[in-house]
Amino acid sequence: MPVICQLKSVRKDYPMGDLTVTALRDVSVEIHAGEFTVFSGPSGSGKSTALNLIGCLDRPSAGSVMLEGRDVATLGDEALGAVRARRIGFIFQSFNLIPVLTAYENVELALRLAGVKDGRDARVKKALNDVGLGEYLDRRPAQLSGGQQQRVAIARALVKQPAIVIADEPTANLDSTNGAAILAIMKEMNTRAGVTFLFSTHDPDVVAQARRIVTLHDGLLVNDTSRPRAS
Amino acid sequence: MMFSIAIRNMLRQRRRSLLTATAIMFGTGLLTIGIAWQQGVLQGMLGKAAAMAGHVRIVTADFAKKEQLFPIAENIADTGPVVKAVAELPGVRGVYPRLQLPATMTVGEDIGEVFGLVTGAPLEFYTEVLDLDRNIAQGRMMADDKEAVIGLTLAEELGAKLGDEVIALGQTQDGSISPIKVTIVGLYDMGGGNVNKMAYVTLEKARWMADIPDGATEVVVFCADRDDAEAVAAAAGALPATAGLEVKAWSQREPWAGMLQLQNTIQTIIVLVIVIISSLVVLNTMMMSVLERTAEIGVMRAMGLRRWQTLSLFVTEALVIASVGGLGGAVIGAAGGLYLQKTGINVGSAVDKLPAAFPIATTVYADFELEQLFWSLVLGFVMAVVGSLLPALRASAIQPVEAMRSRR
Repeated sequence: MPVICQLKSVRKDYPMGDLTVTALRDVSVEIHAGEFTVFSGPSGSGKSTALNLIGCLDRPSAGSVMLEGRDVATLGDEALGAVRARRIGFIFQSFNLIPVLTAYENVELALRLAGVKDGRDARVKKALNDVGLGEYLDRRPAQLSGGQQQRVAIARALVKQPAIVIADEPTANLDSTNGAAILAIMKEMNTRAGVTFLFSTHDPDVVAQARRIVTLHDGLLVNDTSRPRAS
Repeated sequence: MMFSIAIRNMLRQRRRSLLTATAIMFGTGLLTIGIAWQQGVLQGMLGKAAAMAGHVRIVTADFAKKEQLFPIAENIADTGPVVKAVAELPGVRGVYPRLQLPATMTVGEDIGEVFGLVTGAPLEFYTEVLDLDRNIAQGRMMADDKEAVIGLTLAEELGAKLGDEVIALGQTQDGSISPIKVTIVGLYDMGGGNVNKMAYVTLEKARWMADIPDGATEVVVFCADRDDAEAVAAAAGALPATAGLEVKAWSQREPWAGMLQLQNTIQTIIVLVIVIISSLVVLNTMMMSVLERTAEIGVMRAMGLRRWQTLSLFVTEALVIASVGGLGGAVIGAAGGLYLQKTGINVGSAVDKLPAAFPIATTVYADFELEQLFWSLVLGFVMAVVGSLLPALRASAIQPVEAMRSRR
């Protein structure tokens, strides 16, 4: 499969007063289209930083971040926003749905921000149907369970058909049943539609499902293991 | 959808939105009432001043220089040609010679200590311009040279009543002592204060007192429209009949020129203070909204919401609140303005001590116009935009990675 995203000798420093904390040190990694990859490691290992860089939420202090062949580290705020809107889907630990919008509108917002004008209604309904929420279009987040909210978040991330979906601890705020259900949905999307998923997680169930595990420790890439695709 | 989000966010924190709307409502309402009131004060003063001093005044240059001293000697010896020439100008409604003569007023035998101003003008001036006949509180208008109408305040100071004879001790133009004796046939009330301190006599009586048989100290001109005063003054000043005389519109003369400038300054200050206070309330509540919704904004920014879209989201929210508050303020402002226009406010003795140059009536009425309401509403939106701009800029500067760090 083609390389969809690449970190090349990336370093990320955070100034903390007079000190500088280095979150990533000379990390290089390639992500291929259709992968289901977990970035693992203890707290402070740099996995969230790596995902933020790949997700165009942040810029590296050194090195480059290539997304679909383009170095996004050199882009300005507006251009990065446009890349995020069109090519990257996010799933967050706390679901982070917009509380004043219905499930339908939350998903539709992603399409609007991506500049999609045609066929929005059908795409939104299909995305929500795919995550089993076709009957909950008009519910607001407060009227949905945690598991249902995370399904809306998945639909919101996938509806714009992004190049990559970044899921930061997506099951951390869910019970095991809901966590497993969410994971199953993402796995199915990956298998059926070939969506590329990148996770940061401590959840052993998520790690067990991953076909590739990139392990970071103190900002260094210490292990990169791939498993054969299950038939 | 952004408009929809703005409206729903407004409804989300109802109390806070209500507080913001209330600030704008009071700001808009106060602006409307304040401006209507101030316009009322100004219009009241201008109306009285115009009636007393004319839209355009023609005097000798020396009279203008020393007018505070009432220099009777610096008069227009023959006002006939001036009145005739100016009356023919377009936009002129009336032209009247007039004398204002300082005098010591006495009722009875004792020499009085009450200082008064004896005004002599044609009877048409009193009835057509000053509306003196419609402001007679007791008695009637004077009919001949032996009669006078004086103000209630002056009558009170003199201890005079209808039918009393008043002796006004003044001067002729060459400085000789010159008394006149008139019978009080009417007491007028033109709104209290120093407006009620005049003694009105016929032009002939005043001319006799000052020994100016055909002239007057001034010629006052009234225009069909007060706003045309400067144009009429320019036209009158160019006439041969007024050569060597000073011809000025009310707005070109002190204290009115200064008063107009002062009025504009005061109005600007009032507007600024109300806009700033209301904007600060809007700023405070909107800033709280931004702080509470930092993570949410971060998510939307992560999803690709642009900076300008973030900015417009908050400004739109403030404008929606401003529309609600502004409408409420319009109702309050219109109700308050109309009420004050109808009933006025009695400012009582506060204006009694003012000099005669400031003819403010005791009861001051607001001058409410729909245009004031329009501008107050516009300023309501200005309050919303000014107050929400800083929070909106702050929101638009939120970096998604920072905003979401606390809510992963």
